[in-house]
Amino acid sequence: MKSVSCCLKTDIIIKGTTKGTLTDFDGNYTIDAPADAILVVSSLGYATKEVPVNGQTSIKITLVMAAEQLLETIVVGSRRQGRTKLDTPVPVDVINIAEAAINMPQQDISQMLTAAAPSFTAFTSGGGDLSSFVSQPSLRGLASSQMLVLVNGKRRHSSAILAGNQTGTPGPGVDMRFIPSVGVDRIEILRDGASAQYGSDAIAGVINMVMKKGTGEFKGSLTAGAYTNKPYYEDSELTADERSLNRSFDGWDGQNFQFDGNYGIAFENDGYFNASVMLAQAERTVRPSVLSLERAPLYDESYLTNNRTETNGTPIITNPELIAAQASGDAGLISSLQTVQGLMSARDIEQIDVASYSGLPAKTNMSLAFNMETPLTETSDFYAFGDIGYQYSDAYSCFYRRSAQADRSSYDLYPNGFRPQIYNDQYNISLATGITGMIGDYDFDLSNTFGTNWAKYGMFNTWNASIGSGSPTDMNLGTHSFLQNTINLDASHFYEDILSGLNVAFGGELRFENYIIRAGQEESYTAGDAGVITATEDNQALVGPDGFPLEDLFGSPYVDEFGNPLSLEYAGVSQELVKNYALNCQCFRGYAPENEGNNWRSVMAAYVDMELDLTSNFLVSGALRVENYSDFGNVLTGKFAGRYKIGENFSFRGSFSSGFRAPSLQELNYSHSYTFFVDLVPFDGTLYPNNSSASRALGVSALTEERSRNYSLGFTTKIGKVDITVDAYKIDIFDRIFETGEFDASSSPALEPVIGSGLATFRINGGDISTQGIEAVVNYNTNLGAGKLGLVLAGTFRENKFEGVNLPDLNTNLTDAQLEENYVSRSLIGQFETGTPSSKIIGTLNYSVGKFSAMLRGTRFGSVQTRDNNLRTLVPEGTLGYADQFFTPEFTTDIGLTYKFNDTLSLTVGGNNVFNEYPEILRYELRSFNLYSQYQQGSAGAYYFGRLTITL
Amino acid sequence: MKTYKTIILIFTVALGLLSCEQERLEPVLTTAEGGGTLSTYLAYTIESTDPTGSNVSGRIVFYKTTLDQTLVQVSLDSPEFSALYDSTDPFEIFYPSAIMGGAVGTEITTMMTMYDVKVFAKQFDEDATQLDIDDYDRDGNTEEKLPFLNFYAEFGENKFYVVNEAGFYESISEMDSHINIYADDGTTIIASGDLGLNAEPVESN
Repeated sequence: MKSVSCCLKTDIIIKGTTKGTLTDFDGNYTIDAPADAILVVSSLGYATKEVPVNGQTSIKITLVMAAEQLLETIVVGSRRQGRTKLDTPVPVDVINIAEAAINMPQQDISQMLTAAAPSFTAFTSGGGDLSSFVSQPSLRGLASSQMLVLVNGKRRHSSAILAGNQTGTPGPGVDMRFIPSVGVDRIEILRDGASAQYGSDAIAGVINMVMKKGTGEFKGSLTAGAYTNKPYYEDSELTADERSLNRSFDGWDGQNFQFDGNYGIAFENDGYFNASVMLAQAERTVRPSVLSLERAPLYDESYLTNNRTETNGTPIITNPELIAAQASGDAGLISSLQTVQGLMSARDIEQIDVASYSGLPAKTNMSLAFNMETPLTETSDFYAFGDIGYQYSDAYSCFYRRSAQADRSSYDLYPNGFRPQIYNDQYNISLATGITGMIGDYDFDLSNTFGTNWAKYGMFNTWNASIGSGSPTDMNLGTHSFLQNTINLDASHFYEDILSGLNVAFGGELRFENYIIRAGQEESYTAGDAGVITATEDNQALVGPDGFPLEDLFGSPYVDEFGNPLSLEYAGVSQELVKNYALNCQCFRGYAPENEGNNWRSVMAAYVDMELDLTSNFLVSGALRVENYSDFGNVLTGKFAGRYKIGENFSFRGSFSSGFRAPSLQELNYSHSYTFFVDLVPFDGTLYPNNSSASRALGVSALTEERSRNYSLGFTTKIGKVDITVDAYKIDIFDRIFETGEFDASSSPALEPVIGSGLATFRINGGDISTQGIEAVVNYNTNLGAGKLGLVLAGTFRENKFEGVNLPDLNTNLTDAQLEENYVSRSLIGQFETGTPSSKIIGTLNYSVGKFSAMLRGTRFGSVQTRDNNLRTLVPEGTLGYADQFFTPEFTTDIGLTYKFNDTLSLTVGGNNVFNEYPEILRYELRSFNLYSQYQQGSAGAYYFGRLTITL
Repeated sequence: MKTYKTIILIFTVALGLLSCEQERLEPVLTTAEGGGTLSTYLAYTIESTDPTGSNVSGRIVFYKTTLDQTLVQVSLDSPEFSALYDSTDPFEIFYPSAIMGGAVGTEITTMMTMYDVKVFAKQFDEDATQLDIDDYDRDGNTEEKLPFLNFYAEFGENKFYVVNEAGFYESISEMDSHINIYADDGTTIIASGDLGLNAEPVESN
């Protein structure tokens, strides 16, 4: 059957079955339907229509505009089927990925949502230990762990990686990159607390990804793109020195390719199997931070003058160019080669070659997803969906290790210093299976959802200086894995005869979670003895071949008070740490046996969720949920919401709910140590888990859940062809989890038996926070000429506030003010309050006519202010103060233009941030690793792409 | 079936396009040849010839580089350096040095004139109980802790004197020679030591 319908991408389903299809660009469709079947035809903005086939082989269907636009029913936020966006008592955005993707420069779901929904952001770090491996999603400026992600309504597992994010303290988040965007039909963003409905994490809201069900059509696309890499330094705040040294590496960078494919097979029993694949590869971008030679000299005097020695005193020739010049007798060259600039010039090295780099990581992604459903009996269906994926990435995470830094310099391995880079292999699996059907009058859904993420870390261009030049230069740092299995039983029934309708839903959940840390290779966390001399004879003098005393890393001799060389008394026993070489893998200590863990938790939950239409205009809903966590007890949450219609085109809506977020297993159990030496005795600085003896000694209590109260009030209206939704909200979060500053034994003597001379940090329920704001969305759709025009203007205006520290009675000798400052730092508070844009406005124009379709999007990122944690001498003022910085608002423009050659092939070209807008450069005191702020549009610059789309 | 074949073909082509291995950033290894640890050496003793005068003694060490060059290091010490430091400002004391033919006392042939040896003062510790109010280390800072200085003498111009003659290092043990350290007048020998045929190395590797 083939015919023409009214519009692009119309859903056509055979009534009473799950079998269906979508119309193509021109509205054509093909579907195998029995002669007596009824087709249910629905499309965005049009009234759903039922059309009997009546034995016809070609049916032309005309849809009429719906009285209410955006009629697609949504799943998230309501357990009653059939609600539309404008029907719900809480705000829900629906992003039609299947439609929007063709013109979007973004290919990864989290970046697509960032471009389309102002309240959503996904932070991609330009560098930082584990932060570059996950684009942490965020709603309403809260942490990624304060947002719940569902796929087809089922809880998605989070990443094993405890990554840094834009709101301060690191936390786990869902990595959306593993879900191929081509397999996603639409995404619903519930902008309201929903813990009472879905459990932990749904403080800021819920994101539900609805996977495709279509069959009989292959859709594939091949996208290639790159960044122009043309930063402008001319009028920047860089110093004259920096401006002369900074330049971009010539040419484009971040070249990337992505193939997406989707195909569905219809079963004879009206079931379907829809599969998607994504293969992607992206090269790194490089955004160097080039500092002046005086500020970051590559070599020091000992290096330039060949004055360095091994532990036993034998000389190291670090400047063979100087030896050659001496041999030739060239006095000018001899003099030049003893300067940093002279030797760099002789080696053809520019400061940019040996600068710290920031930028997007190199990545290789592969992912395969499926979504299927098939009837079991006349009243029940079996469904399954899932995905399996792999990701490799190597990222920037370290400052450049300059040869001037003698404690980690190796002439043999890295004569001009080195830039350690962290890399990561991840495997991700998700599988949900379930049965839906009817038992009596009740619909039921019994499901099991399994998800796991396994992440192995490594570091290359590194070494363990304390082992010596025999150290490996590529090290396994350890492995993290997270597993989650959730069993759900949900039941619901709609009582049509109670007032204007009552939907009752209830159910239960049983969830298991497991988090494992495995140690890396021994060299990544051990202290070697390359810097240690052990006596080979009694009373051995510590002298080198030249008879002079051995010297430490800074050239200071080992002599007694009279200037005589020290000696070691007993052969084979007496030792001296001559060279205090840096320990562990540079620059990230591998996870050691003491960091290992294998932790489980189980969660049981039960809920009841009711929606009552008191009248056709007045809807109220309420939910109550109780959860029991094996590791910290019970939580009870509730929600009440309502919507009142005034006429056909205006509704008020509002909600109040309580919510919570259980501390994740990652937060409860993650620990990481670093080591330093005092004489020969190693000491550890460690982020301790809260069940550790260090926590008990200091008086840090066990982590408890974060609790929240959500308030929301808004209205929806339709004025002609314009739809408007405006919602105000306030979220109070109590006992938010932060990470403390560092404690030591001098400030906390009770810690001394546990940490010695080391340092200790902890995760704490550090304080209360709140966020409040207004979100508005305006939609306008109309016919313009021979084409269709769609306009969306959406904005969010937000204020985040740290309400105060919850300071417990800790065993320290710090004053209250000092303790408060160390407990939740100034910079962490600043990052939460003003570290992300307080407003974001997105305007999108879509227009399609004939074989052309186009998308134009402008995004305004509000201002950002960072707060420094340390008092320092400010430049150029010369006074002592905090190097806080205000970043003015930024505006970027995205564009996509598609030409459809025929039914099979179309070409899209466009770009993201096409006018190449970079954020402001960091102030002088803060310019070290990053050159730009990371929290507005990022520092990648303009990106252009081309995409071939094939439909078969 | 044709659709399936096309899909498989597209998938295969895409897989081929995207299956390149990621290239890692490489470290900057540019450097001239001849660098690294000098683990092959011969060390000879230099003894004072004026124990009641400057009383300078120490060692001369010959190192072999990977380019078959020989680097010469002279290291001297004296119990008198501290007193010299106290009495000399600015502290610029140089001792000329040379390798002469024959054993010590045979002062006829100069085989090699090397750099002057300079006396250095280097901090090795500090007295945490006192401030450097008299600027003992002459760095202009009187608010730091009082430094403890160690005194020694090395070539002033460069740490090593370079002998760019292939095979020189191997010839040292057969060389009939000695080293002289001269007072700043350039003629008075204040320290000397036999080399090659005339002495056994005090240390070698």
